[in-house]
Amino acid sequence: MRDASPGGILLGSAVLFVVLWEIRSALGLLAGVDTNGTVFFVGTIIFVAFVAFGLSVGLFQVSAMIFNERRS
Amino acid sequence: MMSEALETGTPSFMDRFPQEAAVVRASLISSFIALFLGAVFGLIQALHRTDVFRFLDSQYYYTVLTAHGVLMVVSFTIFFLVGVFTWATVRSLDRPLVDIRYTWAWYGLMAIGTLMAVVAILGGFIPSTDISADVLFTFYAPMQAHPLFYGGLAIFIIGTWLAGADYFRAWYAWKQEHPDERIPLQTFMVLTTMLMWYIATIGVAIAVVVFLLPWSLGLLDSVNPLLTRTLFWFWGHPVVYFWLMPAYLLWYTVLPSISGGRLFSDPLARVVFVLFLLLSTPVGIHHQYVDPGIAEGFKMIAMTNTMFLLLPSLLTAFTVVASMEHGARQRGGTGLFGWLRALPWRNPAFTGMALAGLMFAAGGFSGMVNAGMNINYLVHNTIWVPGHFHLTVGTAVALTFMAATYWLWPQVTNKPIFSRPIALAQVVLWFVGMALMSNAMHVMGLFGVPRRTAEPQYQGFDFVASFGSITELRMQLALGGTLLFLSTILFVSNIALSTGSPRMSGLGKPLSEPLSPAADSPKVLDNLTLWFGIAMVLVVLAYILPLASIITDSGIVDPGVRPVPMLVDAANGLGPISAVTDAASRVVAAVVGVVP
Repeated sequence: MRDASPGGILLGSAVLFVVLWEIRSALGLLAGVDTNGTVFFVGTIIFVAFVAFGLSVGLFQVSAMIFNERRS
Repeated sequence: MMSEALETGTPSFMDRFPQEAAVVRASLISSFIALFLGAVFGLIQALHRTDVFRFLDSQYYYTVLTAHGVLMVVSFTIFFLVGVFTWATVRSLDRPLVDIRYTWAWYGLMAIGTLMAVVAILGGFIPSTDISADVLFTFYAPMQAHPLFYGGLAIFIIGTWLAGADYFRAWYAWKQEHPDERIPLQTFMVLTTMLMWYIATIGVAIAVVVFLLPWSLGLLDSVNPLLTRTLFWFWGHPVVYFWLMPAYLLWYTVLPSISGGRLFSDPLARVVFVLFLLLSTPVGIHHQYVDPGIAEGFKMIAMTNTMFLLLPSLLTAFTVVASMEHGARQRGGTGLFGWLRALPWRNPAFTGMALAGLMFAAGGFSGMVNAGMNINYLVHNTIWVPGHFHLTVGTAVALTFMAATYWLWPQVTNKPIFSRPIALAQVVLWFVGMALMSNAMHVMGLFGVPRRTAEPQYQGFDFVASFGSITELRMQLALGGTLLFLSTILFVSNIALSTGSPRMSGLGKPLSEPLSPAADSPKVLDNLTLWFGIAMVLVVLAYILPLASIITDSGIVDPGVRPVPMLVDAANGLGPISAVTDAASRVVAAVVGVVP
């Protein structure tokens, strides 16, 4: 196990945010569930920030990569 | 600053072909200027229509909209692609262009054409002049622009034709020296794309030169809106592939190398580009599903052809992802999905292109909705449609181009990119901004909010949202548009600051050879004459009857079009052959009438 890289945290947080936010549209359009927009948005931001913070301080860790990451 | 570790010791494109590198630089810089200006107009538009911030009167909205559309999808994309195509042709043939003065000539024509069109558009902000071109990117009748706009477009397109001829000349010269070799993959992609462009631009050339320009100059009293619209869409859909195919070229030939691997299959890539050559043009009528005057059967043919076009995109998804997986496993990645972690996500060129591909998948799904004849009626002319094409051209193409710049720019300037972290943040910011904006556009479209409207709120009218509220979606759109603008600023600034980077040598990045080389494919794939011929036949089959029926029913320059849907032309007493002969006789009569 090892800490995530800053680039990985940035990208992962962005994708996580988009996935969570799209879920609100899916719930509304497909399931007819009208979630509170403000609460959902703030909740999404808090959750993404928590995950990003946890990864950056080592609260969570990602599986070790068995190679030397190259900068190409 | 970017690390010197990027140096590979390999001579860069600029080291080997300095004259061609100058043309590539000029083309890319032109495209980035257009991108910046287009982004400014995009932000104004996003904040205006959402009523977040309005500093222009709504009467200027179409001027803003036209500037945004033309600068982004004509200037930014096409200047970038001629830069990439020049690089790709010279690099893959490993020889310079035949005559660099000729090359600068077509670049000059494109620049002059762009300036003319932009001056005409910006004239719309100055009411005291009679120059304006508030006709949007979809510049068909009945909206009319100043002749400067049409003249600029015509000169720009002639420039692209000459650019294509430049690539063919280089290939022909190479062929004389290598008579028994297969066309190098990148050159093959460039040539098939340009052949498609030559076919596609027949429609817009006729629309502009024969109808719109003379009409704007007062030589014609009227034009047939349905005819110019159909000729526009003859070009207007394949131009989408003209934007996409250079992105595909980068995905097929650059992305695998950046991933640390090799392209999965050269033959499959050739098949994909041949399919685009064949199928890109005979589909334009799918933009006209709600147009009266075109029989439903012709629309059905266009829909069928469009669905066939999904095949090369799906083949691309398979081939590119397979190539990335190969690269990841070469870098030590393992497992069913574990290899994804082994990809070079810290490399902005890779991450940008990968995110662009991801969003293109979403754009493909919304495109299927647009292309379906029945379900299209649900979203036609709503803001869903801009939501769709901001995923395709606005992300799959634009984000790929920006990401590829981080890889290509050092090779044509011998200067590293100013900041790699800013570059990574920029592509991620674009992804988030577009996800927000495009999501809001799609959802609002489903609620019936129109596109091309300065004040969709009208006078107190509000649309009914099935969840959340329209206000919330408007704010989401405005936020997404603002993030996209910031991302553009980061990109342009990063490139501009790179000009101050120290000049270095050895920045060349060799491209890897495909796992399955060209030799594995039948030679007929390289028979460009054959594919061009078949593409022309398909275009004739798809368009000759609809065009004949339009001319027969409503004339060549007659503004009156019967506002009735038609099922089959036979219902009007006209069989297909008589419709064609009748239309032909009208065209001949018109030509005879004009020519003394």
